[in-house]
Amino acid sequence: MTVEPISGAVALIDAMARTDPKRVFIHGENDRLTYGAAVERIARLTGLFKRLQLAPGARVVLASRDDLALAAVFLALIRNGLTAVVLNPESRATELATLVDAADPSALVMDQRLIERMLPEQLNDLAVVALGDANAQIFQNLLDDESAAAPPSSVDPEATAYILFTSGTTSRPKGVEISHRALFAQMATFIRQYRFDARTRLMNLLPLHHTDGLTQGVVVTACAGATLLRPMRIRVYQVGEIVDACHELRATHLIAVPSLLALVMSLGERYHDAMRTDWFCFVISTAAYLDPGLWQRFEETYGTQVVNVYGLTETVCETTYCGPDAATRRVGTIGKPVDAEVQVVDEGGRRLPAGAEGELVVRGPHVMTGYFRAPEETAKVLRDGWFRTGDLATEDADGFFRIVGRKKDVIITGGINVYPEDVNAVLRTVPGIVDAATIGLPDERWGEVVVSGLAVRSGAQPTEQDIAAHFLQHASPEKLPREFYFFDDLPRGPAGKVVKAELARLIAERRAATHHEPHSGGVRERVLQVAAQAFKCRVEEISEQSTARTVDGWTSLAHVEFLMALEQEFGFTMQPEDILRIDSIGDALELLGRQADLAADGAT
Amino acid sequence: MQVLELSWLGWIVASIIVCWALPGRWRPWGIAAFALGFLVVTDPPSAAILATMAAITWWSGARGGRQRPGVTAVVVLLLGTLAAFKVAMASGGFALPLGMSYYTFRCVHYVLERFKKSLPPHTLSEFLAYLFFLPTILAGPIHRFPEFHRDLKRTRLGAEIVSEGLERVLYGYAKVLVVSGWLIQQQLQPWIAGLGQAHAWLSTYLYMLSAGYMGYLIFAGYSDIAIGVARLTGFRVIENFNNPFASRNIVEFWRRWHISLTSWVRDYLYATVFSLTRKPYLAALSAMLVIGLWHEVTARYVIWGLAHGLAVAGCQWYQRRRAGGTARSSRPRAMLGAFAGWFVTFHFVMLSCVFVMHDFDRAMEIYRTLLTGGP
Amino acid sequence: MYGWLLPRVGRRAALLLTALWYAVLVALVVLLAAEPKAGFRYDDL
Repeated sequence: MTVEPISGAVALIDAMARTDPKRVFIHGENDRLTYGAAVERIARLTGLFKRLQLAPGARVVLASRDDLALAAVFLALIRNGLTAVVLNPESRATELATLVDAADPSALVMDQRLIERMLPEQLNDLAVVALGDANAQIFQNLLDDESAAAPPSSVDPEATAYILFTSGTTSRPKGVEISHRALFAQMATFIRQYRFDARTRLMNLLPLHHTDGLTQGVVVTACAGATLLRPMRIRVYQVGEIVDACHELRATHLIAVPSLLALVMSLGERYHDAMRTDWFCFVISTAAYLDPGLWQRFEETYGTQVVNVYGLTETVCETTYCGPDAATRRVGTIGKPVDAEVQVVDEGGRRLPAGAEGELVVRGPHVMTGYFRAPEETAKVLRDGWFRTGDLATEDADGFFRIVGRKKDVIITGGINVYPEDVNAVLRTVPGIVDAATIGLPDERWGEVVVSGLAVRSGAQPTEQDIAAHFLQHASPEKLPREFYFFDDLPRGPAGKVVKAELARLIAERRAATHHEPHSGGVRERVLQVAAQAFKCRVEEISEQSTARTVDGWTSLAHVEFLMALEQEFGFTMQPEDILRIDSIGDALELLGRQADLAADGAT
Repeated sequence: MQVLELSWLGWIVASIIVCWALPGRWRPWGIAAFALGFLVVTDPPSAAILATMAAITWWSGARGGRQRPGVTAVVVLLLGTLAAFKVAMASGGFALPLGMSYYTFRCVHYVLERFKKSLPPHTLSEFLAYLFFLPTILAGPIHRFPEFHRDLKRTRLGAEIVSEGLERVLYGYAKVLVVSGWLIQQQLQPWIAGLGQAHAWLSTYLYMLSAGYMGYLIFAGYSDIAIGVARLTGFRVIENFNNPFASRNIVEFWRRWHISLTSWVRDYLYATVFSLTRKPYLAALSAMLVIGLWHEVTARYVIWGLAHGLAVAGCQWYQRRRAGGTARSSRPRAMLGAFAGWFVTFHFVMLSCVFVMHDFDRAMEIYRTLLTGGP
Repeated sequence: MYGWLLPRVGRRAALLLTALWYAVLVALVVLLAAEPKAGFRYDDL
């Protein structure tokens, strides 16, 4: 059952309209969106956009926890020749303010909770549409009030389909502009390379504000007329349920980041047959370096192929593929480019011979238009038609590429990109911190972890707790460094710039000397401390997965002591439902996450 | 006793064969049909009552199970029905519907887990198979839905399943029929009784131990049979006992005795009472009281429950106090402490068993003999 | 039983002893079965 290649947004919605309306497009946590319902919603959203008088090419900021709503709005936007700017629904007020300002949109479509985090001045001159977060009914009601309208008969392929911001959420945000042409070229490549068709059932739990969730999830599914499975959020301590869900929902493909695969590897034997079925095709590993050892062990244990892919937001999503076909497969590499050209070049842009280390550059129809309103930044990476990825690689004699390092300043932890400058900018606002420098340290589970060196004013050293609390008010949790190291001053070179290599060396020294514990400032660390005290064990012995069944000291009395200690530590009172819900440390963390949400909204 | 009847065995064997033969989609229907069929044939009123409870449970989960008041109402309704039947049974005449005590607790578990949104997506047939599950429907264990559902979806027939299941069933029957029925009841107890005249205290003491241990063996045996049969059907069900008479304190005992019940009470009752009162010892006391009432709604089980409740709360209080201090005991001291703990716990349990296994006068008689040494 | 014996006595012995053990138990159950009397209060047994 081959799929007709989708040439653009018009063709996409038309194809969706021709699909069996009862076929499930997205299988969400609590709800299912069929193709029929999706097409209907897109029509009504078109009516909404017309009513808001959004001009073609206008930018609309989109941020919501409601996956199904977000998917429909996104597709409606691109169909109407509007540019979708998708933001992280966990953004803090400062981040939102910076990004919305940089995006210069005509309208906001966001969860009510996020709208409340914005400053009133920013909302002037903007059409604001409120979504309901996890409450899908609000979106439904909204649409019920709109009447369907006809979208434009064509969409300029060179127009920007969407913008995703990468670095600089707190300083100078870089918004990657992807044109319709680039997006649909990538979709065609995906469908051909992965052999997707209408029977495909793609399990992809990655967030929709990242390209891996958005393009390699929602858009590719729509283009293939397939089904996207998103039955749950990724929770570190419920990885077993994700694997079970793959089996139960008859997923044909699983898209994951290497950290998730590492977690899956730690599950017991009971799960090992989950992917050894007739219908499961292969796993796709994206967004971060895949350790060859993990790769091989996973394939052996789960009896299925892992297809390693490489790409960036600036190239829509993926550029090189290692599998599933034999021609591109070589374990330990990122495979070969498909529908694109890739070279390893030196500083001057000259191609290097096989085996030599240089920067990986990409050319192809899927490369971005540029960074939104940032011509100098764009010029730095787009030169002579080639996009400079900032990754260091080698090419072997057979044309396989291997990533060996990184030139650009980014830390990839658990598949998420964290930009040191963003972290430093927030840390510098903490009272008592004079300067900050952030680096990534290698970690078996996460790939890398974020740690920061802090220069503090003597006598005014803030506690790790205070730093973390202050940090979390201004930036989303994945950016919080795991460890803090205090210095009188950071190691600087002759020009006054921090020398990262030297900082890394000093930090390594300190870590070797005093088995440094992750600071207790983050919520996770504090909860583990409280738990360790209540259950009379060491912090290293427990994790999010711990429950009364896995921890010896977790008796009923210890359980209630744990709960009471949490209430005291975090200064709030639990509701009976909350108490009932806490079966594991991960549940406690989730509860606190919800509390933090309320607090963040309260704080702004 | 039902489990020893050939007819029950017949139903079980038939259900095992048919359910493995059924294709995946029909299996849950098959499982539910056999249990329901057995109930209808054995005791139609039971079938009707249990089916009604299933309907209420399913309806509440599907519709009203999102808000606290709705959930509270359903839980009260379910538990109230069980309590009403138990009171009626205690005052004589009325018989409890088959397996209702275990069944009701499974329903409440389902309702509360549904409220917590912690259940995997499932269908009506899977829900029915969980409640109407022949191996555990009569005498537990009170197995949990998530594990049941996982096994339902993933289980495959294999050599280990058959051998594990058969072994367990064999052990169960041996415990009930050979060790309890023949060895203790037919060989040992007459001999103990024979000691009666000359050695009243010893006879009474040994009788107490034999009765208590027999009670354990019989229940453990039935649990083994249920667990073994469940295994043969492809399901791994929660254990009920873990060497309870090796416990070194009363808290440990209740983690090793009738585990499926106590973990239910811990997860739902203890947590709820604590969340409403913020008093851990009160929660422990209420938990043990409920365990007592679960057996029978009678004065003697209230007393039994309170006694165990006070023991558990006291033990918890003591452990909490000790925890602060340094662990400085030498090895002989530690061993003596452990032995003392075991000794006290073992006898406390045995003595409390006496209270509920006999009527009041006989129990007092036994206590008097043990205390005074004479008849 | 088999699992417990296996590392202690080796495969063939474990198999033999397990089979013997089961045979003994079955024999005991068949020959000596006696139903324990009621007065046993665990609900509806």
